[in-house]
Amino acid sequence: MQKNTLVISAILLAFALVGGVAVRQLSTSSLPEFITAYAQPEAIVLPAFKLGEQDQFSNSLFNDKWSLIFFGYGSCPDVCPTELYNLNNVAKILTAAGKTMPQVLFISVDSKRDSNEMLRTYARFYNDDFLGMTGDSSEVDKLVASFGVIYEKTFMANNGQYVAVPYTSPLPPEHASSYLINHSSRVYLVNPQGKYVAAFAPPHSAEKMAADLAKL
Amino acid sequence: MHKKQVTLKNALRAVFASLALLTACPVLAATDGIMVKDAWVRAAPPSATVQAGFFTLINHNNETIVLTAVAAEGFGHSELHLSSKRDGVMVMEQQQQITVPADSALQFKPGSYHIMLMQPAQIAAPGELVKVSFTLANGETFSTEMTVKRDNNKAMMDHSKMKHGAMQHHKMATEQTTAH
Repeated sequence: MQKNTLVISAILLAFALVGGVAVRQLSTSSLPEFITAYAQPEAIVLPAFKLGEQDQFSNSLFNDKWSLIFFGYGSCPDVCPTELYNLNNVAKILTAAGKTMPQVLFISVDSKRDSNEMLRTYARFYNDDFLGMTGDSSEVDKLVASFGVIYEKTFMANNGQYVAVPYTSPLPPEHASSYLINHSSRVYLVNPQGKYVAAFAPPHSAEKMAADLAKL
Repeated sequence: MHKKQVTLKNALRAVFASLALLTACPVLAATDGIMVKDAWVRAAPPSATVQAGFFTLINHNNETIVLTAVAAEGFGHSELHLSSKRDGVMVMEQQQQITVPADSALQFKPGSYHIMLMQPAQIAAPGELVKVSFTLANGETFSTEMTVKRDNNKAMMDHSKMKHGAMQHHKMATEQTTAH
């Protein structure tokens, strides 16, 4: 009796698995089998946004090409430079293999301290083709919400402990310009229709990322 | 024959022992047993406001050492930092102290321990050397020089000759450190 229940359970489970895989393949049918990227169960349509100097960047930026997006900030000493160097290594690997590197967008969540001019030269330092940008917090936050990015300001309080607050919260005057930012460090993949389809979670291997991107 | 070898060995032992005594006696500073290897500062765009330095700190002493402060020439303020991933978010925090146990090495590397160099007079460019000084909890200090490089990934280096030069430099920097 118990054995029968087990067999039936196993059969049901198998059906569920096959069904799940089928649904997954249907919804992401345009994507190849990735080795390191996590495909979204369904492509996410991005909201209308405006970023950059005089709102020069909008959704049309994604038209007809693949894009990689990384959120960070200009005064980030370790994580962001490491990521941009890594993405430049991805570009080198893909270019050497005769493949096309997706366009790279470095979006600063720190629009209070970072200017578009600063971010443009910042991104270009790592690769001539990388784009750096920011915009009104409300515009940045539209994309932040779509990609599920988390970011917050953080500073060391007088007791030596770090305090994290929402980006828009006021800070004590002595920390008003010296705060750090905790932020998600995923790299997001946007398809040529402007939809968010997959993410690369850290730690990022340039070789593995390039292997996935070469399949696009 | 056999006896002669033993005698020679003993003689050598005596020589080494006296050498060890000579070198160990005058100063027993913890910094004598500290080596800094593979030190580099990540090159940053001229528009950047901060840079990060990475290295391997080897503590040859038979006692724990505790780093409490760092200063870099050309930067108004520098801090000991640790990047880590917490709940899926990269978090970077200043460290009041970094402990390196006896006879062990601690790697300062991207995404982990690093020194954060702030308030630059001018962002240090690739190829330049940054002089960095550390303070220990016991008040002793030691310094080393860190080469500014775009990337420390050996496989990704564009110019193998440059890399070779940089490695020789590290060796020099290490010797300077241990001779302190």
